[in-house]
Amino acid sequence: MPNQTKHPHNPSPIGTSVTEDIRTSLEDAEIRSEHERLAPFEALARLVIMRRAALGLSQEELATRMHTTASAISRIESGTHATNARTLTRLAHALDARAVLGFEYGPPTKPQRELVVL
Amino acid sequence: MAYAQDHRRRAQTFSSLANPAPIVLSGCERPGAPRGPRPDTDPTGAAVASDSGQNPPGRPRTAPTGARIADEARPATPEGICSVREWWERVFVWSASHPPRGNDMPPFHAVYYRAPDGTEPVRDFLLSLDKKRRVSLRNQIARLNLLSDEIPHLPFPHSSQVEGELRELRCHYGAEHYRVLYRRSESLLVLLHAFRKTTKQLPTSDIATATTRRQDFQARMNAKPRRRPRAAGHDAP
Repeated sequence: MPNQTKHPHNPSPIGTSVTEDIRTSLEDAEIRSEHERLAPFEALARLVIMRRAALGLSQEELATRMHTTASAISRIESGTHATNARTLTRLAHALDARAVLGFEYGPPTKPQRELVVL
Repeated sequence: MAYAQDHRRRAQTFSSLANPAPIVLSGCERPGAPRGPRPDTDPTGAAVASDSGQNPPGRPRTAPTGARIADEARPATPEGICSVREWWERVFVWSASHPPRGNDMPPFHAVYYRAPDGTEPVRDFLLSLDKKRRVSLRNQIARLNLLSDEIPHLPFPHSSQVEGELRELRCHYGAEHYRVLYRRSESLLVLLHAFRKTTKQLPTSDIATATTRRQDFQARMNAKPRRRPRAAGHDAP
C-alpha cells in the first residue's frame, strides 16, 4: 500500500502506527495465517516479559528460580515456540503466580470459562 | 511521563461513563423554589439542618430536595451521589477537551518515522523481508505498545540503551539478529532505523542514521505551521 499522506509535499514526521500497520497487513491471507499461528505464543511471551519486568528479574534470575537455563526462558520469550503445561506451572510459580488451564464455551464476545489451577 | 497517567485517568473516566453508577443529583434547587441564603453565608452563624425542622423566622424555607445542609450536619456522601457541578465536569468538561477513546489505546504508541519524501524507512525495511520474518518482527516491535510509566522499557535482552535516549530493540528471527533503533518523543516511540545486524558491535553509521532522522523528526515537529498566502480576491489591494 503506498503511503497516502494528507499533505504530499509536507508530510507529517509521524508515520503509520505499528498497530495500524499490523491491522492492514492482516488482509493478506498468508500473513494472517502466520499471525494466527504465532498469536498464542506471542501472547504468552508478552505476559512473561511484562511480568518479569514488573518483578525486576533478569532472564538468568528467572531461570534459576525455575531450575532451568536462560536459553529456555529466551525460547518462551521469543514468542515462536510452544510451551507445555508442566513448564507453564514452573514458570507461574517462579513469577509468583498460579498457572491456570481450562476451556472456554459460548461466543467469543461473551465467553464462559472453566479453569483449573495447575 | 504525565501522558500515561493522563491516559489512565481518562480511561477511568470513560469506563465509568460506559457503566455509569446511578448519579443522584444533590444541591440543585427546583427552579420555582424560593432560594434562601446559603447556610455557610448565614449572618446569624446558625447551622441549618433540614431535618431539624426549625427555620429562623422571616426566612423562606428552601425546598426539601434542595435544602442545603451545613457541613457538620451533612451525612457522608454515598457512592454515586455528587453535585451538579461535579457531574457536569465528569460528563461534559472531560469529553469536550478529550473525546472518548477506546480503552485499548496504549499509553505509548510505536509509530514509524516518516521521511520528508513520504517514505517510512523502518516499514520499508520490513516490507523488503519475506512474510514470515515480517510477521515475527512486527510482533516483536508491537511489544513496545505494552510499555507504561511503571515499566518504561522492555527488559534487557529485548531492548537496551544505545546512546543517550536512543534505544535499540533487539529482535531476532531464528539466528538472524535485527536491530530497530527508536527514541521516545512524548507518548510516541518513534522507530527511526532498522537493519540486520551482522557485526558484533552496532555500526556507527547506523547510529548516525538514527540520530539524523531523530533530529529531522524534532525539527519538523517544532516547525511553525505554514500559512497560506493571502487570497487575492476581488477586494484585494
